[in-house]
Amino acid sequence: MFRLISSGGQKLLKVVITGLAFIASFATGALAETPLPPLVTEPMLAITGLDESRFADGTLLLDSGRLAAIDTTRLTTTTPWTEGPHEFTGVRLAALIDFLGLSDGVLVAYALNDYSVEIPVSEAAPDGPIIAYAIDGQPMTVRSRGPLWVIYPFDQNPDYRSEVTYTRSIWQMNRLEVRP
Amino acid sequence: MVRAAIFSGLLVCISGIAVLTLNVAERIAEGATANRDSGHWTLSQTEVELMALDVAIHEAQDAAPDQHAAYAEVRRRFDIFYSRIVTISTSDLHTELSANESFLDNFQKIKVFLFNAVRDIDGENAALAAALPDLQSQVLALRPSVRAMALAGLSTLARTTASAREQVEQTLTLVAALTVVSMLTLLAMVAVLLRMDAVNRTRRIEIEASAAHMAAIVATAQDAVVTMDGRHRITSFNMRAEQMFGLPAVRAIGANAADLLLPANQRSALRRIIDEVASHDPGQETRRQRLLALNRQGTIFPVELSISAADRPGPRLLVAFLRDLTAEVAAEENLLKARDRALAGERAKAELLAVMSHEIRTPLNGLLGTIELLGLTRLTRKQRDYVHILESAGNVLLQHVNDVLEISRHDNRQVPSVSEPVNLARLAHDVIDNQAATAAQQGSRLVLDLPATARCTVVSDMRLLKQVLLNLVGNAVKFTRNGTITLRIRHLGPDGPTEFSVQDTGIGIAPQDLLRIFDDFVTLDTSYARPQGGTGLGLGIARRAVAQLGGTLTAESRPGQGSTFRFSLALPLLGPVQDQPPRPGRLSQAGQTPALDVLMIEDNANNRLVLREMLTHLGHRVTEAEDGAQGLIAAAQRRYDLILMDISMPNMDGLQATGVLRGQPGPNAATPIIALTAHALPDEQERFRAAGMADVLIKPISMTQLDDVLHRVCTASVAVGDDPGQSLTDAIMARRRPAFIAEAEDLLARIAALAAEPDANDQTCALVHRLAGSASLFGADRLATRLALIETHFKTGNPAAARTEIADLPWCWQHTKCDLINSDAPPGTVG
Repeated sequence: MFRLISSGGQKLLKVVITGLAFIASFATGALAETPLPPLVTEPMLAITGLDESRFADGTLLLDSGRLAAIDTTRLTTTTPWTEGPHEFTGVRLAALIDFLGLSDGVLVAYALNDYSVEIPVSEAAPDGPIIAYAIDGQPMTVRSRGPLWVIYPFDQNPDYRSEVTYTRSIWQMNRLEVRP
Repeated sequence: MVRAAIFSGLLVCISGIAVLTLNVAERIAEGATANRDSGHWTLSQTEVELMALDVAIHEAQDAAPDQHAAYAEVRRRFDIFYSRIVTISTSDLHTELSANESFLDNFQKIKVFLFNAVRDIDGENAALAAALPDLQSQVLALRPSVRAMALAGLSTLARTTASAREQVEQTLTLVAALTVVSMLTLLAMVAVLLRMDAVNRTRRIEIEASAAHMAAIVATAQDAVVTMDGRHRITSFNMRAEQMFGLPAVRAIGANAADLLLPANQRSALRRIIDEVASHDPGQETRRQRLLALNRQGTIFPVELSISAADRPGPRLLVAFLRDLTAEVAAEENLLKARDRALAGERAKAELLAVMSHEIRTPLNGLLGTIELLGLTRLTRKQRDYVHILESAGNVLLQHVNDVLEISRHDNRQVPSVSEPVNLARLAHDVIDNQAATAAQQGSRLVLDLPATARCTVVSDMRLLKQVLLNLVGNAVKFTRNGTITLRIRHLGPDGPTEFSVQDTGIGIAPQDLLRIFDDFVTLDTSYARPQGGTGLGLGIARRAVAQLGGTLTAESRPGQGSTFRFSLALPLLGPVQDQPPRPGRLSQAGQTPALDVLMIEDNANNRLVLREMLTHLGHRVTEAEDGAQGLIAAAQRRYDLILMDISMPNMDGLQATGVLRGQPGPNAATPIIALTAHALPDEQERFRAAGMADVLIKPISMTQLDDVLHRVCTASVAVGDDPGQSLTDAIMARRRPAFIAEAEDLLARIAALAAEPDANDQTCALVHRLAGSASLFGADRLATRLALIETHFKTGNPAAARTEIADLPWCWQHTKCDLINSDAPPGTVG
């Protein structure tokens, strides 16, 4: 087939096919097929325990660029640990779960200060928590509870104002482990 | 009262529930959200993270300067601690713990350390390495502060938790209390409702019983009970109504009462009654009405309706009771018929008596008259004896007839009592004289016992009184042999009654006979069998006559010792009076009257014969006429001194003939006419007098009677006028006038009242006659004439004319009364 078409046509065809594939991947939501941009900065999140057929060693490293590529959501809410409402920018947990191709199980989140908590995959509702990496447009430093902080939309859904949810609002998160 | 309790209870419950709900909602809202993250974890993690930093610094000090990992670790641990403190400072926890001074102080120290340490941490590794020992000692010094802060925070948290729990406890307690209160209130309400239910149940039973009671009463009532609403529609119909009208209740209910139960012509009357009753307040108006009702078979029957409005709230209820009057109406009619029959019977009896009296008297007249004439002829001794027997037998027969007639007249109330002056002394003497001979024959003595004042005059009926006394004395004489008969008259008190008594010393009457003797036709068997037995009516007549006079006749007796008959009358005294010359005796005064030319008009041949013989014997000249017409012809031809006119004649009777004679000019227009009649009734006699007859001879006529009448009439025609009023003195007149006025007014009132009733003509006439007598007595001539005219109208069968005259009486009376009151003039001048 390729031989019959001219080189210019071949280039065009590649672009078209890539574009279609890209569009198709959106249509099916199979974000998994879409390759992530390569790591640029220091990875801030390591996800382990993934399906080894898709991810090498079942591990996925994500930096801010890659996170942004998966999802960029802005959430304004107050929290028990902050004064007043702040705008958090991050990845919806639901988007991440979709990207990872998970449907059930548990995500065990670990933080820099050795805190860890289990977040069930069912927590990942479309209007549920986000994994925030920026607060008020500024990336979060460790001192300001970065690199990652699981923020629930407390203001939008008072049901999240419970003890269990508070334990799941892990900050200084740097690792996620997928458990079935 | 119960309602108020229930409503207030309800209110308490509702408000309680509202409070509860609000409170609980608050608590739920509070509990629904966790205010803050776990304070305990944060506080203890602070210590842990500080210690981690301490360890990291320690290890970094031991490490070589080119061990970047160690310094990274120090930096990391510092950042972690730093971020923890920052988090605490911006979190809700801080707000909560800031009340604790110890917490704030220590927290401040930590913040100071961090502020100072940041410079070193953020510097190069070399600077950091140099600062490490200092950092180490700072961290060491900080550890107690951190601990103290944690402890302070802990104690505050504990207090907060405790107070939160207390609040919840309070809320729960409140919830419990309000719940209990609500429960109790509800229970109370339930109790109240149960009680109300019980009460209602009892009431319902009572009401049902009462209703059943009422229903039973209505069902068994003997009257039809029909209830209806204000629109005349029947709402209930009891069993008796169903029977009465032949309609089942289902058909009656809802129907219009008047249309269903009454015939067409009665309906509007009923509708009017119903509306009247309905428009009044209940219980105020009950209407009773006799109506005609209509039953299913079409029979119309009389009912009495009694209807009233029921006193109860709600729409109008009218209750009607209907009584079937068929039986009563029939009974009434029967009663009326019986009464009419009885009255008719009475009338028939009276007529029979009158007729019989006439029929018997007429032949008796012939009989006795002839016997008398026979006695005047020359007879052998034997013949004279026979004549005596005939005479006494005839007289007895006459007496019997008179007695029976008298009794029946009394019983038929045809004996009016007259009010006239009666001289008791003279009356008593007359009675004694009458019986003297008979008593002498029996060997008995007659005694008269009169008080001195008995010489006065009283107002009474002479004829009746005499009749009674004669009867009593005659009986006493009859039943006494060789004894004493005393006639006693006494006044009991100055204004008291007068007592009459007849006492004898005869054979007496057995106690068991004392009552019997007054019965009609009862004679007692006596050993003195007389040729003259009695009819047994004498005492009966006497009793009736005494009753008529206003007294009661009583008898006392002891067998073998004698009897006393007594009666008392209230006789008004007229005061002492001059003695009047005694009336002429019974003995014939043949020849005293001058010879008269007499015209005799009599249809009966025998009677004519007898009369002619009598008149001739008395020395008069007689012309006979056979009937009224012939009499008139004879009267027209020449003048006679006297006309004897028989009343009962065919074609033209005596009254008619008299009327003609008086009405037309002729030679005999003023000739005195004497009526001959067998009718013994005084009313009849008055009739004759009113027609213009001077006197009346009642058959059978004796010669003595005839002579008396002739004498009287002829001398009277010369005299001024036989007005008995003239024999009274002015003083007596004046004294008695008020009583007369009173009596007259009473009689006039009664006449006026009776005049309106067509059935009472006889009674009215009798009263008029009585008043006429009194009026002429007291010289009220004009009144008397008027009354006589009224009487004539009644007797000639013209009650209408009589009534017209009666209507004028009051006017006439006013004048008369005026004159009577104003006048002390002698009698005869009063109009």
